[in-house]
Amino acid sequence: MVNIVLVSHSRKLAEGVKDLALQMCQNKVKIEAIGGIEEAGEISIGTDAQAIFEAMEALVDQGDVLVLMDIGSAVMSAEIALEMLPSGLQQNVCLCAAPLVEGAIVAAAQAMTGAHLDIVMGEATNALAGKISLLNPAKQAMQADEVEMDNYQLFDLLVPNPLGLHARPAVRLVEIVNRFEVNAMVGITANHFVSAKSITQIGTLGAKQGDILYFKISGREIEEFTATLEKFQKDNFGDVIAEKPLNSPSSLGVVKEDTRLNKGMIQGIAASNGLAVGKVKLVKRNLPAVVKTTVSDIEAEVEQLKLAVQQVIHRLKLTQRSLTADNSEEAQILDFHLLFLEDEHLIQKVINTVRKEKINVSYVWSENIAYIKKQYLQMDAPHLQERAGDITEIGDTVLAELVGEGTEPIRMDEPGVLVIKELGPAETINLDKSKVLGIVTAGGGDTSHSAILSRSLGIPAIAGIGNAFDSLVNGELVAIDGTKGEIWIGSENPEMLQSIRAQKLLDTQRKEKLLLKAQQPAITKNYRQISVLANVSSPEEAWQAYQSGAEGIGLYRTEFLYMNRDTPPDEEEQFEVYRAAAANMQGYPVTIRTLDVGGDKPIPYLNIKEEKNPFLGLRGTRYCLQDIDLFKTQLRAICRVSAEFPVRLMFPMISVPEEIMAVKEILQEVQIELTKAKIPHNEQIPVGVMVEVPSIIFLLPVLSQELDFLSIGTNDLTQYLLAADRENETVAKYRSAQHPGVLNALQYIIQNVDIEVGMCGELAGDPLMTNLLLAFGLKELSMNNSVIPRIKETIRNSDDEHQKSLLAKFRKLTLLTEVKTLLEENQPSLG
Amino acid sequence: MDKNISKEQILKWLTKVAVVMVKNKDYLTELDAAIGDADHGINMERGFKKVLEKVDGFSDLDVGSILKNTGLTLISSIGGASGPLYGTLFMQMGMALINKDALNVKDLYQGIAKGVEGVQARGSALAGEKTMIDVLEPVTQVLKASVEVGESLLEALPKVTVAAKKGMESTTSMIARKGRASYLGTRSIGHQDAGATSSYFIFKTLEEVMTPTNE
Repeated sequence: MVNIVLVSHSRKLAEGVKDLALQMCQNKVKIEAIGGIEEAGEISIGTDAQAIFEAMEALVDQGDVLVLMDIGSAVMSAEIALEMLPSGLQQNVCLCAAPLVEGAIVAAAQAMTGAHLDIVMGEATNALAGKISLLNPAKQAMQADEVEMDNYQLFDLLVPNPLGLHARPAVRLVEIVNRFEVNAMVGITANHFVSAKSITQIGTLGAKQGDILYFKISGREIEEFTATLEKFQKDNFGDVIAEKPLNSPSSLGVVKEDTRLNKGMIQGIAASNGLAVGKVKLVKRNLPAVVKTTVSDIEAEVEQLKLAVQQVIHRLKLTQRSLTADNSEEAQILDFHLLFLEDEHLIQKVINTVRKEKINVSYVWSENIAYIKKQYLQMDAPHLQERAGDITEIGDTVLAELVGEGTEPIRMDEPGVLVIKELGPAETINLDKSKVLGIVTAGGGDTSHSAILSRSLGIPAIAGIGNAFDSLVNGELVAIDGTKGEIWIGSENPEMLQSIRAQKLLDTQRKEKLLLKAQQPAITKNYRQISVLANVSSPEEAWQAYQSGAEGIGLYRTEFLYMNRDTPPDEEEQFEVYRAAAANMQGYPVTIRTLDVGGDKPIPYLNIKEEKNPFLGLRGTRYCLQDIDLFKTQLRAICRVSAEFPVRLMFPMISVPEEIMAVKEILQEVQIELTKAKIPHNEQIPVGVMVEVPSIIFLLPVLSQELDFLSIGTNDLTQYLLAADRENETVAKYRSAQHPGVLNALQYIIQNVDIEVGMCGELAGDPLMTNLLLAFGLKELSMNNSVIPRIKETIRNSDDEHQKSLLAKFRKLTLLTEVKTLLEENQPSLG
Repeated sequence: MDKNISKEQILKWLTKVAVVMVKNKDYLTELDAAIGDADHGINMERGFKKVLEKVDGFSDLDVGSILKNTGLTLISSIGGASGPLYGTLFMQMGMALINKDALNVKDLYQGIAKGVEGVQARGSALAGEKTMIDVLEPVTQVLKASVEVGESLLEALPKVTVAAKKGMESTTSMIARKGRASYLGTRSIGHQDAGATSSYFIFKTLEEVMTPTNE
């Protein structure tokens, strides 16, 4: 791993750049920030070769070191520091000519992928390429070097996330490339490719949502690589979905210094989506000025502090009590404030200083807060650094109490757009949501607590407008677009104001209509209600499913939790993930399928021997019955979630009844263990199996008495019934779930068991099939999120008569082409 | 007769340079403020004050080690570009003069030539670019000439001061090509370079230390 030393004349700059870079590399890279020169505890502008040497020395033991500097003496001091290193170590340290800020970000990003020092250095030196091509595409200074590749394979990937291939996904992509033995080039047109191992070059592609990334891949591990890419895409390129996308113009969410007022438009950082039009409510606050004075009545000072802290704690608790269960995030943030104030250690330290030095308590308090804030800012983890904003808020609140100028709560007399320098999380929660149409702050970014809270409250917000703050006048009419981070001054842009107002109205109506429609049940014209469920692999997808109108999860695939890592997930991790998925479904049932490993989903650390025919080998439940510890861990996690949410257990790849007996026995052991340990779980957790292996079909009428439900996995059932390997393209023409050979089997299953039967294969999400499947008597369909609204609509337009005639025609068919023609002739129209 | 620079005189030189830098702090800063970042006087004062604090402890060392330690002290205390540059000058000079207890003209030339070489490598500046090199290079050449014709130290040092002064003054009409002043381009014309000035002080002080009238 390459670690980084940053050298600047200014300590603040060095540390600021370090923060940025750490955010980029998620703390995976060690970064030392060296800046300023210290004398007698005072820091002034300058560089210190000795300090740089010490930083190099500390890091060089742990790998290679890249040094980035600002200008002048920084370069020379770094050179001297390098010369001070033992000559044997000098080759492991490289001084890099890259621009400090851009270079540090790129270097950190590249270093976390595990790239070699030369690569990191090359990438960093090229760090300006992205900006140059953005600002000056015609004069693009640096050309991506195209590597000629022979014998490559092509692979396409659609960019799924709204922000496109911005910095974070680009890093993840390079990380994935580096993980496999492949050489890959990528482009968004068929004639321009760049190295997929280069962050800067990938950045210059400017791939947006909906673009197709074309890959040319060669090497030994192409399949593993493309599988991981697909997973990466399914993960929305690692961008969170539940939290609304951060449509910030700067993907790093940094406060922009240069927010010019341009034709009456102010560009800030998009912090919370949505539109608003209203009057500016400017809130200016003057923090109490604190002067150091000596005091005689020390105990009065001490009393004052205790009282002030108590007051603030009291107010926080009142706020917290007003929060409902839905505001768990808000409550947690307030917890932090409370915890901080209830910290005896801090209070005692302040009191001791007051007693010892006989100076005023408000001064001592401010000094301590400033110190703690600094400590937080110096921490490695970005989420801890962001706590500095919380510390300021706590400190100021207590200080205001101390100097007797209790901070005025923000009061809005009429609806408007709140414009304020900084907004603390507690203040955000206390806002009158009926009055605050939007929030604009001078500081902050899209990851600060108040931005997160604005998003969860659904208030459009723009952060980081910087100096442009001063150009906003109280009472003037503005329109804000929280999605783009734009603030339009009404008097200068009346047409923009009108347009945003109209758009907002339209947005609100459309959203309500869509949601209403998606959430409505799917009932046929003859009043038969069909359950439409989702197939998902993560809590985020579960949330999307809920939003798309899924009435439950028909298949929660757990294998992805086990993939792309070196050890299996432990019980706690699994519990958290399954619980989050269930919670996101807001009380709808969630069917969790136990680990379906093997076949097309290998997991290296499980050491499953390579099989000639993995689809007929040790896969699914067959494997789990051999690895009881792994199996039990998963069952425990699922059972624990069942205490709180309607969770059902489903076992994959069951071929004989003996397997059902075996898993039930193990489940019973797990349940007894949980009961003994007094861990809550649903003892009656519904148990079902996947119907995938033909052997089980004809035993189902009897077997089903032992089970609560069945789910037909049409993909595997098709390959087994038709004896056509899913991965063998030469037999692809034999393999279709629409073949009468398969469809008749489905009908047999549905009509010959008394328990609930669902379908979670691809067939369930095919609108051409919906009417026929309903005609077979299927009442539960589980599919990918994207098709849910369409299938629901198809069901709503379906009627018994049409189904019956379709079934009658189908019964006479024996050829796949005949079925296809029938389905196409009866293609459901969408209203 | 040929008088050498003794170890004691070297220590005295360093002490006097420190005093000169303290006295001229504002002057150097003023020069730097016109075309640079207004920190040269502050930096030189800070650096040589540190040298002053340590110079007593150097008395048991040889000349080379004294100069080397002076360089190290400057590097770790100045902060601005003059730290690495003057640090390198003294360090390289010291390294060339290790184990010497006194310096004759040839020693002084060899030490300074080595030091200047180091500064040039560090800052990659050439004569004519409005930097301390405009003083250091003529000083080296004068000393070289004195060695070649076999002049004594007392003959050579006044010439060194004159060359240093001329070099310093020549920077006024130059366009800055190095350092922060180079951002000003032609606007840097008409201002004397602060670094060249502090370099001049260093050599002038050496002459003063060695001239009996000034004792």
